[in-house]
Amino acid sequence: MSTYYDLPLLKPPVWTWEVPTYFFVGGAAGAAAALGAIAQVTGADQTLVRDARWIAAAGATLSAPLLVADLGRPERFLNMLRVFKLQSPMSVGAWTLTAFGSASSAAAFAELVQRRTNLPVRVVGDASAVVAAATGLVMATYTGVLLGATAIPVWNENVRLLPVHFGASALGSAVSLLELRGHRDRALNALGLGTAIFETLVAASLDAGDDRVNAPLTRGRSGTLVRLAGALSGPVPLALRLFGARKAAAIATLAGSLATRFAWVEAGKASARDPRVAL
Amino acid sequence: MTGFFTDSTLCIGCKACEVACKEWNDVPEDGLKFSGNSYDNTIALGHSTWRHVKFVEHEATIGAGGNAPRLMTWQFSSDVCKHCENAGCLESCPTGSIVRTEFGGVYVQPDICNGCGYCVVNCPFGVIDRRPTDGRAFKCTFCYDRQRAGEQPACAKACPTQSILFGDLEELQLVADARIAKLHANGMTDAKIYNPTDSSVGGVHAFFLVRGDAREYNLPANPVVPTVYLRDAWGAAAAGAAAIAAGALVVFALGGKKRMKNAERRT
Repeated sequence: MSTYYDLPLLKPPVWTWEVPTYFFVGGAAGAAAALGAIAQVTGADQTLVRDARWIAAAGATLSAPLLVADLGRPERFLNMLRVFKLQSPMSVGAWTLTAFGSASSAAAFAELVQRRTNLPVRVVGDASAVVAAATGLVMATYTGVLLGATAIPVWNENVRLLPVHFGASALGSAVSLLELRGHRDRALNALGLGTAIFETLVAASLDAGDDRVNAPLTRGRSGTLVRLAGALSGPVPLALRLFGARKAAAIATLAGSLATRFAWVEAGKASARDPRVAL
Repeated sequence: MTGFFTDSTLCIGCKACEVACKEWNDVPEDGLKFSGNSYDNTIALGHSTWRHVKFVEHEATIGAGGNAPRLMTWQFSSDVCKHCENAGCLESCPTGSIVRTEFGGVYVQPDICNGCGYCVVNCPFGVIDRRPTDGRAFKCTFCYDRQRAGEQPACAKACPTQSILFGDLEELQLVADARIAKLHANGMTDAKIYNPTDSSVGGVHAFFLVRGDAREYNLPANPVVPTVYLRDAWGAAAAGAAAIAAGALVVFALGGKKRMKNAERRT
């Protein structure tokens, strides 16, 4: 096939470490908010709900500075809220983060105020928690949309996988953070097992791909990172959970979740460099 | 609506377009190295290269430069932002910085762009990029300032052979059709127009006449505007969100019951 001196056609992503780190932090925070609200509705123990709300709020608080730092003109970060464009996943994400940040902070603070004072803020807290949960579900999955709906071949080739993959990864992270806080609910273990099984299947399916588009997932630096992330997200915590080592499984899941986001950004960079796929 | 018709059969590879563009738009220097790729040391379009002359070498072909059968032939083509009808950069820009001008071009408003870099991964032609020394994204402006003053873009003005034609888009398309007919009649049957109207990009306002395979000029056969992936992407996100919510609901509902039973057993 003819190319132009085998020079790349596409431009690689310009993002640095802050962006995949945000995918991890924001995803975990969003999933935690969803988990907390569902746990509250089903009558789980109150400390679990409280911790989930604080994980969500903390993650939201960390997310904004991470994203602002990656901007080429950080002082113009508010321009993200100039318009709302449904056809831009980044616009949807910016507004979602804004809503999620407000709602999750309100939910966490309301819970604190309610616990320490007699002020009747429970309804405010619960309503905020519902909003945080709804926007949290978007937070956990939209970053997959952000990558999938682009010109980068390895990303758009996997457009249907990425939102679900990142969502499962986010759920695993939220579960792990709660377990590291000391919670040992069977429900958490079940979710941890479920996400580990899912991530194992994803890792196996990515490894089996042998077409040129998906080569960055199995070859080179990005391929190594994808495999490492897949192992830490899937088989390793799965085995650890089956042996009852929940804390170790939680740590592995968190490492794997962070590594997954970095792996896919690296894969995107490698994919942009291959002219034969893009042409 | 205005457009560019860049006819590579007229291009002599002088790079006046590259120079004129950089001078008019005050575009900074972006690399002074020898690529080894014929006389193309500009290498690619980018944040600081908005016109890029490509040099394609071939075995000797009739009527394609190089009169002796032993020498290779040379084709030149000046690449530019395609100013797509359905532009990936425009659709993806979250600040609304990238807009369509009254002339039909795609324009990055430099006072709004905050350098998020999302446009960079949404261009199927690899045109727009973020400038590291500045932070914002840059590409061909279609000389918006010149057009508003009733002038033609700097590259078209400077081109000595009128390989770069600027004008009303529909008129240019008629010119291109006539040119193709003439070239085919003269035996240059591999000449073709590159204007991907059938793709999701929906046609470009800067179209080209090239010889042979357009991919040799780094022009993709089937460019795709990434918004076509949105439906599948958001569908998957909805499925993922539903799975998270349903999974959590199931395990906490069941887990809750078990906890209640254990509590009852203990009392």
